[in-house]
Amino acid sequence: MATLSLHCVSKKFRDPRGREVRAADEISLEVPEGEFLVLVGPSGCGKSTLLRLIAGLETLDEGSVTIGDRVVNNLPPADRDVAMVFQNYALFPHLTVFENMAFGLQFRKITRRETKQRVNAAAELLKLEDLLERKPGALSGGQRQRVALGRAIVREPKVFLLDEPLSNLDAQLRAETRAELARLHRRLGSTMILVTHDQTEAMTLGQRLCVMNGGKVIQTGTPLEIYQNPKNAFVAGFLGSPGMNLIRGIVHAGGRELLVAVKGLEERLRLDIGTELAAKMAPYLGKDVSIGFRPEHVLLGDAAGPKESAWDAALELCEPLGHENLIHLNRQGIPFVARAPVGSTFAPGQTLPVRIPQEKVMVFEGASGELIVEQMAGAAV
Amino acid sequence: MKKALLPSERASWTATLLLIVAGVLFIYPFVWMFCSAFKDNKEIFKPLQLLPGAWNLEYYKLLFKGELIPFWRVFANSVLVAFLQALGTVALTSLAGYVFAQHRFRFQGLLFVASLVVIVLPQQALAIPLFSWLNELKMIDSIWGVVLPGVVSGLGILYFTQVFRQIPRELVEASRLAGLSEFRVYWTLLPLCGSALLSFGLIQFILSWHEHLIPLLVLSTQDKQTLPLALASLFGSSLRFPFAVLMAASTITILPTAILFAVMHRRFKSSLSEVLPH
Ligand SMILES: Nc1ncnc2c1ncn2[C@@H]1O[C@H](COP(=O)(O)OP(=O)(O)O)[C@@H](O)[C@H]1O
Ligand SMILES: [Mg+2]
Repeated sequence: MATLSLHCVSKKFRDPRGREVRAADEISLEVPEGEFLVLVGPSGCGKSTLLRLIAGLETLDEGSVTIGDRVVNNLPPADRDVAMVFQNYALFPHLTVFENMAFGLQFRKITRRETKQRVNAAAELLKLEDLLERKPGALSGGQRQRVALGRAIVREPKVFLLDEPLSNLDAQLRAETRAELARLHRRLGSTMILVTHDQTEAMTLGQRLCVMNGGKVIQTGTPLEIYQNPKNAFVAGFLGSPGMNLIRGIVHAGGRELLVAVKGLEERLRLDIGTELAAKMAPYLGKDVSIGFRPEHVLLGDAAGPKESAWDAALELCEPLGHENLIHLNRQGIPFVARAPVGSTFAPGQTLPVRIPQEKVMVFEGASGELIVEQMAGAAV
Repeated sequence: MKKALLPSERASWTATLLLIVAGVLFIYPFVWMFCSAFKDNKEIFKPLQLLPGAWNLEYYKLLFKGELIPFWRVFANSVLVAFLQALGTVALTSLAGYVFAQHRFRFQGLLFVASLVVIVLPQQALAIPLFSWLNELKMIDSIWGVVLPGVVSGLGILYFTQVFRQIPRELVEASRLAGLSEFRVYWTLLPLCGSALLSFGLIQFILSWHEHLIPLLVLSTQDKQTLPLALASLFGSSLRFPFAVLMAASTITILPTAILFAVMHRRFKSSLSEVLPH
């Protein structure tokens, strides 16, 4: 257990065509002792690379990695006291479960007895006791995943690095294992970094979340903080399933009442933002912006309230998820999604009144995606 | 009513027929060799006679007596040379293959190409420099002088580079994280390539078994010779020499490789993918 800190870590690769890819771009990050940090981002954004840099499987171009009070830049992977769980588990097919789990200890100065003790303890923790003599080929995906975890646990490392450990499991097993991982972290109390591209995992697992894109850290914070106050349009669209609705447009008129012209839409989007924010919006007159609102904030049908403040939108598709419905709507070519409770009687083809409470709306700058107008949380609906 | 053959059936019949013809063409010399080991010189030179007049074992006895050549001695030499060479080649080229497949280093591409050039370079071109090297190293007329040059195989490096490329990078990385030395990583991964190692070892054994040029260069004492050399020396002796002895010796010479090939044939089918979990 130890604090892990990254300072301005960079790593470049060359893709097959010889172009430079910045897989890690000046990443600075602090993970306090015992924290469960989740790294999330779309595929190819550099999450695995970051883990591999921490583990020492890739060499840094720039920056430094500190574990505890040691700068580990030049230490080989084995001396960094980190354990990694790979996405494909990386179990040795010709070794038994026991041998696979003991593998991380064999080449260290640890006695046979202690090895046995640790493996048995980990096997008990992961409910693998009955499988110790089997080969990985005779295990299910979930069992293999637990063996891979076990191999990391017996090492008793300072830092656990988990690279998409759940992505090869089916949905039900994934949910179970997710809960198990959280329990495991509480039990071991070690520093853990988990990589995922699945935002459900991101929201539920981590004490802290770190959103990455294009080799950069975009935002860190608790999952709820980030969900409610995304720093830019990318984070807003990425977190949540489905993510925030984003509608591009041009600020047409400022003032207390913001008018946004959206391509293809006859009328202007009208937002009552109040005088304070209006001042903030003034420089953006005539500029590109994105209007963002979460699906759960869209009010539909009767809930939309009086006619004059609502829009009409065509209902294109209704996806029942069991506990709620996802309603795909379209207003003159502009698609967006809303959530509706089960039992709502909406049918495709229908035209619905829709209202988006103004205090739930966020405005992002068009080109950079940076947040301009925050959600006015706490404002009366 | 007769059923017409489907086009695919007709094609497969044609293929079978062609293969039978080719098979007979290939096998005929071997059958002729086998039969000729029982014939006297007059019979051997009758072109249309395949089967011997009598199944006469006298020529085998003559061969085994060891008066013409020290047959069993030479046979043992051949086994030893081929075995050592197969072992050495597999050890060396699989190690090189591991490094080429799982490491990144300076001039890697250049070195890889250089090791492949060995494949296309004819052995004859290397004969003279090789001889002078071996002379320097005092390996002339020694078994090591035959074994060591054969251990360097460009084909082996190419083959094992491909084999080790199929091993997931994560297995190597997990080993490094566990604190294994590079050699231990290679050693740990080796069982995963079991059948590849065996197949290539067998190929190398057979190649070495039939190797003629390097033993000819290196070995001069009759006691140290390998089978192909000894057979060649039999042939040269005189015209009145019973050729059936040569045929008997040849028959015994191809026997080990034929057996190995039969064994290997089955091993070829099992591949790396069987070992790795899906
Ligand atoms: N060894 C490598 N050689 C070249 N490019 C690489 C290498 N490893 C990763 N990359 C590139 O770096 C980027 C980040 O990759 P990765 O860290 O695997 O992303 P993620 O795990 O977030 O999906 C990708 O564009 C990938 O193509
Ligand atoms: Mg990845």
